[in-house]
Amino acid sequence: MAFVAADDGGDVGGDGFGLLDYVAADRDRLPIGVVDAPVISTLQRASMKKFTITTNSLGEAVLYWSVSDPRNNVETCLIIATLNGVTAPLGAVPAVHGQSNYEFADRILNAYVGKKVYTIVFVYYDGSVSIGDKVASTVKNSNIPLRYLK
Amino acid sequence: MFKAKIANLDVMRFDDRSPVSMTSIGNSHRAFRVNLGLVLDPLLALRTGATWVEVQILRQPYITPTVLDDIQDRASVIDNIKTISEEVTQKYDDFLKNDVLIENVFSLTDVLNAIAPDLAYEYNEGSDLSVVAAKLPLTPVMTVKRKTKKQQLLRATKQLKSRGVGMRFTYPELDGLLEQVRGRPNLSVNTHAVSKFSVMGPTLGKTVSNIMHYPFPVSKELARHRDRRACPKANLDQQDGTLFLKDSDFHYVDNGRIAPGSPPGISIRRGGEPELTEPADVRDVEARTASPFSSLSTVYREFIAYNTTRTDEIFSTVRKMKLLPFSKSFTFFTSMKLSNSVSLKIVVKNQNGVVLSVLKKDVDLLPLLADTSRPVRAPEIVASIALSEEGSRAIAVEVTQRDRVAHQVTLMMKETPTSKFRSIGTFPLRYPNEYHTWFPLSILRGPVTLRAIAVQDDGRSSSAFTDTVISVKSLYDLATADGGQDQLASPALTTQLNAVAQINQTAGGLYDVTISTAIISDGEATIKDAASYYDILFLRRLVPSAGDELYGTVGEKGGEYVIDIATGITATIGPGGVFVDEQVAEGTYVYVIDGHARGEEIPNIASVRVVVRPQDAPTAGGKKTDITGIQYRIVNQQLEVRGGKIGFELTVETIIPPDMTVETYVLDATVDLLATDLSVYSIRVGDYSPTVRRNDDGTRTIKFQVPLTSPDVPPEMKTAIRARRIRSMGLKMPIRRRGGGRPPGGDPIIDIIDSELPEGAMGDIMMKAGEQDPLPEETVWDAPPADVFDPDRPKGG
Repeated sequence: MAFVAADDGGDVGGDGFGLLDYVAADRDRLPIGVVDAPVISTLQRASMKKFTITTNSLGEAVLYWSVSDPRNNVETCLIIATLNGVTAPLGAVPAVHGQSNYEFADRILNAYVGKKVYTIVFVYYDGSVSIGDKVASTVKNSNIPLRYLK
Repeated sequence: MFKAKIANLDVMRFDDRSPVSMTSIGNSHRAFRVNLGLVLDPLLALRTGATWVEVQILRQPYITPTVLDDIQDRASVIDNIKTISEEVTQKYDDFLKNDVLIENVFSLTDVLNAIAPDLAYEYNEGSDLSVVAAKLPLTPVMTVKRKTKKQQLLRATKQLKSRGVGMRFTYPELDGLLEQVRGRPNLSVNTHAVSKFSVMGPTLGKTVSNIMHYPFPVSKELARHRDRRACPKANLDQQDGTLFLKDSDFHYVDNGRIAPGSPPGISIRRGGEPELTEPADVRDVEARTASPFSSLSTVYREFIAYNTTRTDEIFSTVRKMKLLPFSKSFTFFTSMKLSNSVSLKIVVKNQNGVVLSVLKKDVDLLPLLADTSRPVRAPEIVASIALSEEGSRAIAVEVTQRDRVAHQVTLMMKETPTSKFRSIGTFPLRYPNEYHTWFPLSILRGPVTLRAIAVQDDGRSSSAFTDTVISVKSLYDLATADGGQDQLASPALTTQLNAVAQINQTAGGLYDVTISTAIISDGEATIKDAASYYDILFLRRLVPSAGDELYGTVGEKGGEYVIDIATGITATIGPGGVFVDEQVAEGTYVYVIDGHARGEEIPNIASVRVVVRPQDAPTAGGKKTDITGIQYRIVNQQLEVRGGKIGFELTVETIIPPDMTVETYVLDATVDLLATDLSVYSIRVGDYSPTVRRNDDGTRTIKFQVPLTSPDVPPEMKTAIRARRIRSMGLKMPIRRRGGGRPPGGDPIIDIIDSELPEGAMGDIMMKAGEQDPLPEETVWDAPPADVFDPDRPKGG
């Protein structure tokens, strides 16, 4: 890129230009052209029709949810979990046009005892997000290593 | 024939972490792949001479025919035995024919050669068992104090809370996406940051969805409750580093053999027997996790990454393995209808056929098949811009299936950060095959996101997906050879367009904002320049505080077109021309230039952010110089050579004009290394993805890394570093004339006074033994602050 007096807003390129420089609230750290206000969207929000959890033969919690999104505005579903007071994403499932039912097997927290509360965050194609209005939880009170069951 | 059987020895066991997984190959449910997770006691196996392992997968357990009765005399006994023998033979033949899905024999020697070759070698050489035992594999582990009490954890949590510190993440991308709620030691998702990143991430080659794939920050408090049986597919999990080893896999460490103060490692004891030594601070520790293949310690590093107060509780050491987990996979085909359950039988024998150990397990098959058929590994994508057979621009994509159970891959594309994904298609693709395709591209520049989803069934989605961003910014290899309309106007120009803002105060308290467009020359031969490509340019004015967006629609979130006051219609110019937005009120704006080419609109080909306020407008008297740029002074700089890269870190004090950012300016900066023979080696900062962090004291730290393999690092430069002949390091930042011209003197780059490196700063260079690269393994320099000549710097400032 040649000398510029102001950024052209794109093509910075490269992996290393850290996200931290862009998502911080400090506007001085935002590149020119980036709106440092919340992403305000007029898109129609998706709604959850159901959100259930079952346990599969591997002991994993399998999340099933159904989305009403007639305009296919949802791009990605992020699965957020809370365990022992810590809330963080577990993974993501991409939305597919025409599909309303999704599932996610929790391989990550499967190994841990405790109450796990799951939430779905919808990421829309314009960058906005919304949090699903339903939560689902499962409790693993104990675990017995399989060798004791032999 | 005499058959011998000894008591069932614990030579081999099912690995309770992942005893068995079975996946269906294809949709016919006739072909299956079974993966057995096993644990071998190598010393016991060697002592007992275990040689062969027979594996049977049975539709149902074999039941020996019952003994016949009605025995009345000696003759009837003989008849009975004959009948039993015939029936047993017949029944067993029928059983083999009808109920044995797979029989397989493998050699334990092969297994040992694969997972513990040194051990196998010593055994084959006939060495003593003590020598053989010394060859048990060592595994790096992260350990944690056994006596870490709950109170300690609570204390650490309180300290964390009182300090109110943010989390430090080993994934820098997480910094901001997760936030710590002040007053609670929790993490929560920063949806505000997620929103921004989903828009800005693609420009940086990153996507939200990929960032979200990382270890959940499980508290160590939970580790003791962890279910050891992690998940199926043991071999994959071990390679992925997701399968935990456990204490029983390692030899017990005797506290009396711990060498206080010594580093962990192997020492040679009397008799030449190597043994493990540990430092005193890992006394009474408990091996929690490790990976025999890669590094499960990374899991722990992730754990503590979320809470730096715990770092002193974790130790790195090595452990001698006692049990060796391994996996064995078989593929089998059957024309028989599978029942809901199958039986596994594993027999370990010695060279003479004596049965040493028998393992049996019933497996509920159908649920297991369903649960193990969920794709877990994301496909890989490699994409490049290419020229299609028809001569149009296209994206060439190579997708590699990485999931063993997925049958297909769904490919999608998102052409701008705020457009929808459109489906390219779903195509059959099995592990580990590749699929090549291309499809036309309708945009000229900007980030394009490709999404590949490993799927099991049509129309479904899965969490095994990857988003890959490619930047369409230069149109290599697309020039048409025969010229004509698409012929290159100038081989030194690109379609990139630069926008520069100048603000002038007018009567009535309003301002004129002049946006100059300039064609950027990057010295690379590309097909078209902006002047030859874009027919016309439009200018939009966005108000960021109103939620306007770069790619928004005019009248909604895309701001409004700049109007030519004289004509009252939308202002248009050609590339290289100048817009003047008249009668602008004070405020912060983003001007966006949209290009039109052959009737097609290409939004946001350039943009510039403008803060309109009185102090920004130069007075007519020209008190302010027409040279502008970021004023800066280096307060600290450091050069570090580590891991095959040269890391630069410069901390600068800055005075930043309102329409500039360090992040932007640093892209055009260079760092010069001055050698003692006055040779100068320049590194262009913008080529190496610099990061700029604002420090608490208002300074900014610029960091970037240059691979030693970079063409910008010539051999002479490596030699100069190696020979400690680098004398100083200096940073050059660009300056420019307001409005787009060059500053007086012609050179747009100002020199700074190089800072002298301290004498002997290179004295601590260490070379790694056997390393071919002439550069030191680890080198750190600290340079004193350097001053800057800056014509725009206020006197006395």
